[in-house]
Amino acid sequence: MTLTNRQYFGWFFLAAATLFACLLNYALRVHLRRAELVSGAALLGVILLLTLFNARKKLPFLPLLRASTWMQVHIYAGLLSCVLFVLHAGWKLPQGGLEASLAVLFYLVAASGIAGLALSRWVPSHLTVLGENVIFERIPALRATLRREVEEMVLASVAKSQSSTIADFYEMKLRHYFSKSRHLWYHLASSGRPLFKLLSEVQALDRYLNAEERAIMTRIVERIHAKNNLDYQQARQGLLKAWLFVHIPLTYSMILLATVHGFLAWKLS
Amino acid sequence: MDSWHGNFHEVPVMPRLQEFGFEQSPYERPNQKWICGRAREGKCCLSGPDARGNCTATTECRPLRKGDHWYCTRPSFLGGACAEGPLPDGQCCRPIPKCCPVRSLRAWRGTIVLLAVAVTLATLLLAFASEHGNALLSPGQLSFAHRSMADNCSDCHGGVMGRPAKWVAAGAGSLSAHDNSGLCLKCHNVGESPLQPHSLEHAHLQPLTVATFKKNGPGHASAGLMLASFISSVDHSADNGLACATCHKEHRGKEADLKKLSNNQCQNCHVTQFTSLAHGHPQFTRYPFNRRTRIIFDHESHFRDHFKNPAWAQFAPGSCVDCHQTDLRGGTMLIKPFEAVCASCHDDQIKGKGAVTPGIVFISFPTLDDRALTGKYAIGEWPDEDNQPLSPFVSLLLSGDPKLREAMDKLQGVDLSSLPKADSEKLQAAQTLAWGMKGLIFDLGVRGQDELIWRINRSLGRTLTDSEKEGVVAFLSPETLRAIFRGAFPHLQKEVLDYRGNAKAASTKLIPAPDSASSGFGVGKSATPDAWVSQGGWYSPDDGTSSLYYRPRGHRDRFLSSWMNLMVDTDHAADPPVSQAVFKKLTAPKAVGLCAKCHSIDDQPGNHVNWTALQPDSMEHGFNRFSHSAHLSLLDTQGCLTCHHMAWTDSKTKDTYASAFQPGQHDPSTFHSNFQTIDKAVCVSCHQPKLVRDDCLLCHNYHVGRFKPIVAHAGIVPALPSAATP
Repeated sequence: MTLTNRQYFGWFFLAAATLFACLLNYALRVHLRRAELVSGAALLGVILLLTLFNARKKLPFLPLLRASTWMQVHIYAGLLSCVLFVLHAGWKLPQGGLEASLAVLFYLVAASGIAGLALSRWVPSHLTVLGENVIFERIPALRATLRREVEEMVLASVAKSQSSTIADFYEMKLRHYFSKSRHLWYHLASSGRPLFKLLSEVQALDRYLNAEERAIMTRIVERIHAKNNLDYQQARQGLLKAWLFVHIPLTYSMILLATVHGFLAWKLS
Repeated sequence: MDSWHGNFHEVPVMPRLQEFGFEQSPYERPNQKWICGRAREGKCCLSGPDARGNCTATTECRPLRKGDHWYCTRPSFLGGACAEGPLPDGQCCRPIPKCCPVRSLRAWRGTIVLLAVAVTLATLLLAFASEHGNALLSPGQLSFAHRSMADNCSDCHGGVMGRPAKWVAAGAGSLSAHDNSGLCLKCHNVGESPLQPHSLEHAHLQPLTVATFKKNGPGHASAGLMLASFISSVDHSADNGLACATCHKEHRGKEADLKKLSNNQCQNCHVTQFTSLAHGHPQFTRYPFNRRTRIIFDHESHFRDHFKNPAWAQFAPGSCVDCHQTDLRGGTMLIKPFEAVCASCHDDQIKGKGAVTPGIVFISFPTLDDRALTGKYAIGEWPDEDNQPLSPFVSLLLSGDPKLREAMDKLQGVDLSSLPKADSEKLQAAQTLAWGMKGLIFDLGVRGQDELIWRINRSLGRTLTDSEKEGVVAFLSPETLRAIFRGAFPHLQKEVLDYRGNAKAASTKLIPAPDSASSGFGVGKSATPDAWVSQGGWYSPDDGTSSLYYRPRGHRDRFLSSWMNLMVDTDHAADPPVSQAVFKKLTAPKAVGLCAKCHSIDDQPGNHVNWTALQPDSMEHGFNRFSHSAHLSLLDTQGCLTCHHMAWTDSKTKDTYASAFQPGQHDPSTFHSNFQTIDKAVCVSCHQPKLVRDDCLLCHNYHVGRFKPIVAHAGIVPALPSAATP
């Protein structure tokens, strides 16, 4: 893996900020100053900076750097916040109700953020493994299109061959398959077992088909593969959407608790 | 990828599913909250739902008029222009049935965000409004010692009372750490200057700092300290002080050590900095001895001379612990009781066994020149005794009377037994003194111990305590007093009353000493008076005098110790030289009781007699601490000498242990110990990294001084009911 200049700068910034934070925290503790208050304020500041990324995305018309730059800042500042959290709270789970809740929220937000970062690096490179990379929002419409096409083929097979072999097979196996997304967990695990099973059944049907029906079935199998790709796309791209359902709501809860915690710490310490 | 085998062996070429371009596909709007209900069927309309989720669909297109013709504008991805075309009035002929818009993925995420925020807010509001909110908001368990305050935040945080919502709304809890330290000090007494560094006033600490820097220099700071030196320490100025919470961090669990600090945290304020005990810590200079011992015991003379004497060899201790033992806390090495370690050799000496005069003279009468003291200087009956000096005790008892004090001053250095050439002034003084003494005997005989105490009070300028009264009279009985002086003054009552009534003084007449054989028991057959009181008490020797003696009852004699305590401080005495004479009499090297032989007298912090050796004071907190008990099991065959090396007498300087206890030498800081200063290397042999702890707080206290524990809410006398109560 080759690092870009921007990544070099990011890692350098993270290393320098971590070093400075550790040094300052150590010096404050040695000099019996309120190191927790300083590290806590810094942590809250970094968290607020991180949330600005979301605000920036909602204001795309403002000329405030590129979104990719914001993303890089978000990533390295997020990693820095983990360092500050350890400096602030240590490795052990706090005992107080508020503090423990806050720590758990931070763990979840940080873990989901790191998971999201990993997914955003890993998932896109695999999206073209089974075929065409489609827009996530279009998947239901495309699936509906495939279903309509298959149904038209089935009707055509009955008309042409005067046989209901393909129609019966569609009713028994394919209607369910094309009706909605299927086998998402298998696709997350990169397993082709469901497709193999379905195609095996198509293969078993082959001996009962005549030439016309076989030609129609060939085109149906193309749609089966296309539908399989749509399911794969939905499963993988869904991951890229799903982690935000953990990361963002918990972030706002965490900011609320952190604000209260900061207020109490400032007032009572 | 698994593939279908059979007639369709290979993965087929799949049809392209999506097209891009405004003519091939609709524009996706994932950021909008609502999407068309038919989008999942690939048949979304052009307008889409509005912001509130209402379907706005009407027709498949909005026909465009060109000239007098209307043209269909249905986009190509919806099938292009329809065959029917617009209606004559320009309306599209293909109406779209209303759909039911659905929420977008982003909208669902926003809803979950709102839900999470709402739940969090509700939880916080409940916590702030709840009676148990303080417990929920507490940042952690209190330490074991503070566990009883877990339910009452206001014990440590000023103004934090009741529900959180209440004290937050009232702006409470805004006290500074310094203000909250006052709450700590309600239970913890750390001296008069609790928030100052080391609980010492700046004026006390600064000289120590200067002296340390002068002696040890800046030292060599550890890498950690140098690294942290780019910021300054907490302000230590006299005005601010240090809040308790600066060092003591609470809410870290019941097992937390509130006193835990790192070496660097301790050292960051110090002028002399170093790496560890082994590297850089200053060598001990006067540890553990920074003053002379309170009990005078010369280890060197005892072990070199006394215990080698065959007569005493049997009493020699076998090891240090024969005479020493640790206190209950194990910190201080105590001396075992006198009876256990000293009595075998010294008990008889204290009781005066074998001494020529085992008792101390309390009342005696000087020989007066009866030929000079006649006529107007007559003194009446006076015991005819050998040349007896005036007892210092009698001088003290008379010194409360200004006339008698003046008379004694005039007679300083005068031989009272020979006054033929004395002028009238001295004769008058001698007469006054004689009648004063007779008055003393008379008053003692009449009023007893109260008279004695009254005269002592008058002489010392203060009232004796009950304990002192009991000590100084030592069970003196009227029979003893009267029996002794009846023979010397047969007509004492008449003479004294006449003299005091301004009648003419009786003619001088010497009364011979009573014959001891007249006692009825015979001289040769009964014990001598001093032997008769072999276990202590009052007596009059059969030496031809009419004197009152006291023989000590042994160690811890109340009479001697009480008089020494009274006389050691003569600042308020009516006649200090007289008091000093009594004290000198009691503390002379060969004085009866030999008190001052072992009990040193200090002039700091005020004159006092050290009746006991160093006693551990649980309230006293010095800079250093050491646990003897923790080390006893580690000693090798040398025992205590492993660490405490003897300091034998320096043959050049002739400094001896005893030289610090010469008569008149009362400064405890001037001394020559029997033992050398502890060598730091002895400690370092074990206390070093990877072996045994060597941190600062193992041996040093931070708060220094004498701190009495605070007993909160302890009222011995219950509060009286209100006077207004009917």
